Amino acid sequence: MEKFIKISKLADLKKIKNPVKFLAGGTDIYPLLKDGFLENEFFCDISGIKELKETKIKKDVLEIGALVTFSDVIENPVFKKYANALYESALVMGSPQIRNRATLGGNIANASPSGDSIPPLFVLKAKIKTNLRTVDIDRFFMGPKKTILKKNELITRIIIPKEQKESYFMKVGPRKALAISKVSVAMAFKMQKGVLKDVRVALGAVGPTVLRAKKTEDFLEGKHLSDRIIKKAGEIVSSEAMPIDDFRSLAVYRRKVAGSILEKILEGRLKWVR
Amino acid sequence: MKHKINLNVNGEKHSIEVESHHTLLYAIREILHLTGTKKGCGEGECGACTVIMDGVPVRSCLVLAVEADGKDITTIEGIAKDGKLTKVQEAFIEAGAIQCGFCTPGFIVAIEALLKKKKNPKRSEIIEALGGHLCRCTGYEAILKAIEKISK
Repeated sequence: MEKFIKISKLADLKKIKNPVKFLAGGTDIYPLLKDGFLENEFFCDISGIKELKETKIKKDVLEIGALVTFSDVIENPVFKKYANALYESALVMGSPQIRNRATLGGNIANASPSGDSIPPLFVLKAKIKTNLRTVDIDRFFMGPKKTILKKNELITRIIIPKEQKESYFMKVGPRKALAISKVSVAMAFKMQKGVLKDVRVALGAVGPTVLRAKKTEDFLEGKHLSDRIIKKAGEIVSSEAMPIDDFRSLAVYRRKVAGSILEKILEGRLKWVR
Repeated sequence: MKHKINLNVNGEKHSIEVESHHTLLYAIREILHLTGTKKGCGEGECGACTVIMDGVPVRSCLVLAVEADGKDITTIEGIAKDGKLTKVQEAFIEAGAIQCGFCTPGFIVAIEALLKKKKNPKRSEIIEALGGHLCRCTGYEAILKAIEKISK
């Protein structure tokens, strides 16, 4: 890497003339750099832009700066309150020192199908705000490591509606710290007298991007939570996942585990109802 | 492209020149010659290069030197004050928590940062804070014993 600039205000984006690669926490970028990729990139360090480090609680939404770190998500109680799935994903992302540096905006821009903050953002109906536009998260990812972001378009904020609903996240990886997810599941719903409403399910690492499990959502919608329903939902989500065989896991394993995780989340919730 | 940066390392001010692609780890080891900070994997997996930057433990292999411009850095060399070992360092020696010693600086720095944040961490909190620190001699139990002894 030969070229490097630093900006400290959003307004300075306009001054950048070359195509740049934005640098926030850098935790996904430096391993690539070490392996000799990205050598010819022009880097723009945005980590000093203060206005992107804030989380604002507005009337209907949480407005989260793209430079908010995973440690911030754990420590600031508003996340547990309004975006529990995101909070739960932060607890199991990377290691404490990675979480001190890694940002939400970076996790989204990196667009890994196994990015841990992404399934929670899908079920929490997040919108991604850039310097140019605001897009629903469902429409943001194009494939592994591919997004709709144009040259020098920067994610600035993540908007999450505050509507009171429950949300959860669980993942399976090879070890506890620094594990890249083999499979992850996020869920959100409202529960009224044991009946599930407004169900959203998203799956990580079992497709080219994070996927919504719409058949599972449709099946669970309006159902009274029971052991039988949970088992059936597990089967549906397994059939809906689109995993591949790769060096991390076999597809058949990922399908089965996607079902098991969903069942585990719902079983935990069922115990609480009883 | 060369950049001039200022680092406050272990209370000493340094003004150095680095390339855009140099990591903080490189600057600490190869320019300032503070070789107590170790390079293990070079990609954030092992924890051997941990330093404290503005009060927060980070992996110095995952921070660019230019990004650390103007920051306060504490390395393993800055942990003991006036030649006197800290409680953590004494406890490591007593518990035999060092085998080959390569991972030790990273562990010590991470633990010092943890104890600054939390005086008496529980075993589960210690394990959490050390998540992703690898000891290939697998001396984890002795390390935990050493920390538990002083945090009680």
